[in-house]
Amino acid sequence: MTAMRTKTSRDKVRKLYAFIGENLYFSRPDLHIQGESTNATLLLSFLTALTGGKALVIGEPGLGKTTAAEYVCALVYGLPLGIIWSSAVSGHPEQTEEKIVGRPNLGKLNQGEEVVIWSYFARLPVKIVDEINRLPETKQSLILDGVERGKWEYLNQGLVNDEFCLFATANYQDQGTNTLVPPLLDRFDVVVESKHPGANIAALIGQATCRDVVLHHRASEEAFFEALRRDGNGTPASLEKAHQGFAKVLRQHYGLETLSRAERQAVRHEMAALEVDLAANAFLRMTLAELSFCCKYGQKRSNEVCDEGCHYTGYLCYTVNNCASNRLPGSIYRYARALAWWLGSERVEVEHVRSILPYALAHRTQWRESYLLLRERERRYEPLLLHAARHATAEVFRRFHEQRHEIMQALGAAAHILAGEEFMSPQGDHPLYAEIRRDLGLE
Amino acid sequence: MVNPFQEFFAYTTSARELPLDHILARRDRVLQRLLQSYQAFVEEESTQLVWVVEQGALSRAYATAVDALKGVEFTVEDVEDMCVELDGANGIATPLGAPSGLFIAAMCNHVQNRDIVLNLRNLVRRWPFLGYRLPRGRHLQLEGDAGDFVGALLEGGEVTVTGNAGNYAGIGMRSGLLRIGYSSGKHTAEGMRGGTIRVQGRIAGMGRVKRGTVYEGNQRVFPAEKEGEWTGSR
Amino acid sequence: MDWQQVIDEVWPHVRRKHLWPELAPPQVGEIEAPVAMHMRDKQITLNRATCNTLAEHLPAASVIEALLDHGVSHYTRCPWDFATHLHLYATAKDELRRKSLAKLATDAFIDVVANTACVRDVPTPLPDVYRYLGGGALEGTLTALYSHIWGMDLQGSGDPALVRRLARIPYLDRQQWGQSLRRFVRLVQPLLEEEEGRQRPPQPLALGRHGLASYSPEEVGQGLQTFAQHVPDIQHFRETVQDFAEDLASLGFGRGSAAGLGQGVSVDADVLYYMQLAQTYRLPLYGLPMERSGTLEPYSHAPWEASKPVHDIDLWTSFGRLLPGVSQTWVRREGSIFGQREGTPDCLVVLDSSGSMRNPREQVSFAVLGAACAVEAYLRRDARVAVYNFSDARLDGKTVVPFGTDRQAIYQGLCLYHGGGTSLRLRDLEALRRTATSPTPDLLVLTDMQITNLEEVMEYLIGVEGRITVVHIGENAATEHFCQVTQHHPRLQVFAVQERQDIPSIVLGQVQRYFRPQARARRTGSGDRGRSSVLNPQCSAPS
Repeated sequence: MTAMRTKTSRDKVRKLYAFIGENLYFSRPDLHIQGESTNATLLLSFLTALTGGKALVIGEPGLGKTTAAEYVCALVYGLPLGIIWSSAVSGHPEQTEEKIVGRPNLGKLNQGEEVVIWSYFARLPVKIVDEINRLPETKQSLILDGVERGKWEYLNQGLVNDEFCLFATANYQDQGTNTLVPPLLDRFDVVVESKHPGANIAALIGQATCRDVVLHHRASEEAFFEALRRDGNGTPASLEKAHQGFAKVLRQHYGLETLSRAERQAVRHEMAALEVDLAANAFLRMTLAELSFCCKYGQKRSNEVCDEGCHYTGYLCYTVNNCASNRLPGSIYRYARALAWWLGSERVEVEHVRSILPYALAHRTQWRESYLLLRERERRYEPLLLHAARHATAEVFRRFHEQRHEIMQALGAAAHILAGEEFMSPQGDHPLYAEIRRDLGLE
Repeated sequence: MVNPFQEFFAYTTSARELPLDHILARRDRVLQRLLQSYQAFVEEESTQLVWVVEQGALSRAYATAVDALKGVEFTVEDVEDMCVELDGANGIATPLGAPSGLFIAAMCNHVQNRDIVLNLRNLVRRWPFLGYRLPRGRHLQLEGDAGDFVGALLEGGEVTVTGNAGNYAGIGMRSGLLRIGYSSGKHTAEGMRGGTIRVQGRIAGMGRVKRGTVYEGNQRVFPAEKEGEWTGSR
Repeated sequence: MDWQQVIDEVWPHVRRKHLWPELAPPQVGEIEAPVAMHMRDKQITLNRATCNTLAEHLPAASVIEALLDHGVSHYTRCPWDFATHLHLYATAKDELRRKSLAKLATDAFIDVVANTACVRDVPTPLPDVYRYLGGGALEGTLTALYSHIWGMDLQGSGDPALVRRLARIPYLDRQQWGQSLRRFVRLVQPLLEEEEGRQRPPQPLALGRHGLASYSPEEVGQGLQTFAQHVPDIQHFRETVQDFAEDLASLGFGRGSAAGLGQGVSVDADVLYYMQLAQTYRLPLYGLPMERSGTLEPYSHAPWEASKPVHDIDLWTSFGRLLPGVSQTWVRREGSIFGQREGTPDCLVVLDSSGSMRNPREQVSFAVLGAACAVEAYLRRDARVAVYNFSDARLDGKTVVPFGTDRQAIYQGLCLYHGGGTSLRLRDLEALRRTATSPTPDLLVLTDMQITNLEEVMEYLIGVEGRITVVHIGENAATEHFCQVTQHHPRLQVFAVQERQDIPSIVLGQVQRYFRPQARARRTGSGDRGRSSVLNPQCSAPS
């Protein structure tokens, strides 16, 4: 019964994906996994919407960064485009907390009552920030902190989101943009580039007229606005009727079934229930070890540089400057599970982790100049930092492929040792062995 | 405290164990034991303040080497690997000249295989005393150039050097055969009491031979050929 | 037999076994050489004839699975990349001194490693293939070796003593591949020589040869770079790379100037060496300056405090009220604009190749390497570079490469060695400098300062416009004198290079700094700052 339900949800979602790919967001497949070719931007957008993640979509102006997110959220969350547009925050220096989060009810304020009118951005589960790097750092922080906790505060009042996802778009750095500092970047689960689809598909896009009209249903939007206006708190129940109305429209016109809130929750439970294969687990541990370990200083730190000639020069710890944060494994597991669910796998396998890793790693890692220099001149189909992350993933994977049995045996031995049994302490060259010994109190 | 390895508790590897793993493990074990034996031998010998090439000292050192090898089961391939190990600059072994040669000789004399081939071409060092007291029934082939004292005190075995030999080749040999593919150095066959030495090339200098036969090319040089006597090589 | 269909059925299983290697679905085709498969740019192609032959003894699925296991193992385990392959080949060549034998020995070693790793790690029918593969003495010995180390009877024919020795090599220990290969080669050398002695070219191994064609041009480039970094000297590089000259030339690497007509494009391995090595350095090059606009612009809001001025209060966000903590005031910041765009000027490289300098084709020349790194820095920024390579220029000991972006021509100019006396003809230099498109091109001078007309040169450099970077090789009285005279020049910077590690500390186009005492440069990695923003792919100025 559960399997049947899973299949049904997955089929629904895939149908939505196919619909967007064929009618709204034209793109080239650039991610190949288990015999399937998909577009990374679209797929990761879907996974973000389903899992409630946070995605940073980058790219040149006009390549559909925001569009992909809008379409995906419209169908997954059953919201007309007009509502999504109204709730999106655009990045410019003059954005204020009042425009982003909420404002006082001025009428009531005059009477001495502090009542907050929450913004659509705060109320709705879909949060899109356009050109986040044009926001000052304080406003970036405001948004990311709010999304991190799922709670918005203004004038000592709070609003909790039961479900939400965040899409932030950003152009490449130019004179009008600010830098997204590492602590803020770290809060994003994944980064993906919205690429140019090529001349032929671009011509197709140019020819197509009013693609938006598909999801831009006036009557439904009015219903939503009315519901939102009526209930300033925007509790989910008050929007349910509007959701049902819009879902009916999509069903009647396009044969599409959107997901209800309950269904989305069920999907999340299904994803969370997926077991992680031991090999995938070990691979992730290897990666984390290489990204955080330092034999000299205990761990990687951005203000401490590795010596030349260190024993671990051949590992990633030598090529990165900063330490992997604890959000990284969370992001990887979240999206790897989502990907495994998407593909109908029974468990999360190495390939799922390997596919997600570059997207989760690229924006979080400060690479050494020398490493980037080597990667810079290689042929690639994505921005340099994504390419560097992909290359690093491939390097770790090669090492994992060679010594996976030994690594997993070492982890098994460690489990037994910690359980009090007599086992030989694992020995090996990889930083993970040193980490194991530290965990066992042997180093 | 949470056990971060709990998921791997029941893990059993799916990788096959190949005979290669056993071969390498055994090789490493034996090599380790041989190196320990060698280390013990060197330490024992280093208590002698001056290491001299003198029969009494040689016998004693050889006996120490044999003693150090007791209980170690090794093959001819282990002997070859040990030579490579001693030739290298790193490792715990200190590749001293003369004692190393004696140690290798002791290994050659006690290895199970009767036929031993050591490729000296790829080695840097020229150890002396290779083939020392090789007993009857054993054949030691040294490919490349050998050091001094090759085949010293030969006891019936056959030593073949495909290249050149150093000085004092065949010194004190009692019986057996020493073949040298090219030339030998000075004091060849010094104190020789029996057996045969055949040098295909030139002998730089003969030692004081007591008994036995020495050939230089096709010509017998000890005992010297009488006129008309043919001593062509067999 | 529809082999493609069998491949399509078996391939997903093989991929899963090997943890999903990033390879295109294999194909079947006709291959001329007597090999079972080849791999070109991540595309495995199986030989139909071999498949048919093996299918006489084994089920079709097993044949395909075995062959694919073999091919994928090469991709995932050994040699993995071109740099590893080159390194292994160089080791074999060092032992054997002959190209054909070295290639065959390398192929054999790689096969043993890949096959053994495959048999150990995944269930595979690969061993069965070796029962029926046939081949010469080497193949027979390898099959006997497999029998011994895999623990199965594959009916190989080889000298048991040789096989026992081969079995003692740690094939699966990557760290020891160099050493292991040497041992392997020494042991199989008689077999290879026996094959050669039969006066026929050594046949490739039955399951395929491993050459440059297996790698993409990018992988080859990357491999050459890594190899150039780790090889002990330029001669080593040349000896190895020359053996792949034809293949490299066809991929467009390091074409020699003597291309001539028709066939036989040569590869200038020395030029290739410096080219690849220079790729691994990054010299900072000061380019476009940012200027402050001098104007203040509203940037963000902050709560208004009673003590603050009221003229910046934002009425709209203050809800029409003037209340401390409620009203919002604008925080302003200075805007940034670009100054007058200068871009990156062209660069004239003045390189001393007199007798006191190293011959770059015999030893690694730090001058040439430094010049190459600088050339890369300028070319990356779309600037043009000219080369004035001089010895005794007055006696025509000079080579001039005019301003341009032809990397090959520039490197050819740098790698020329005149080896005579040392004097610089400033008239020629000035004439060349004036042909630059940018009005004030940068000047990069690399010399040991033992120039006959050093005083003239110093006078010239002090008077010339544009930024000047001087790199002196080694320390002597002349370099001290030069540093002393030029220490206050606002646009002239001097760097000392005595070792390869000093090269990354050169900063090109640095101006408005006073001369600093030239301590020996250390590689502290302080210039190696990470880039934290995924949105900022290019930094033109060093941090």
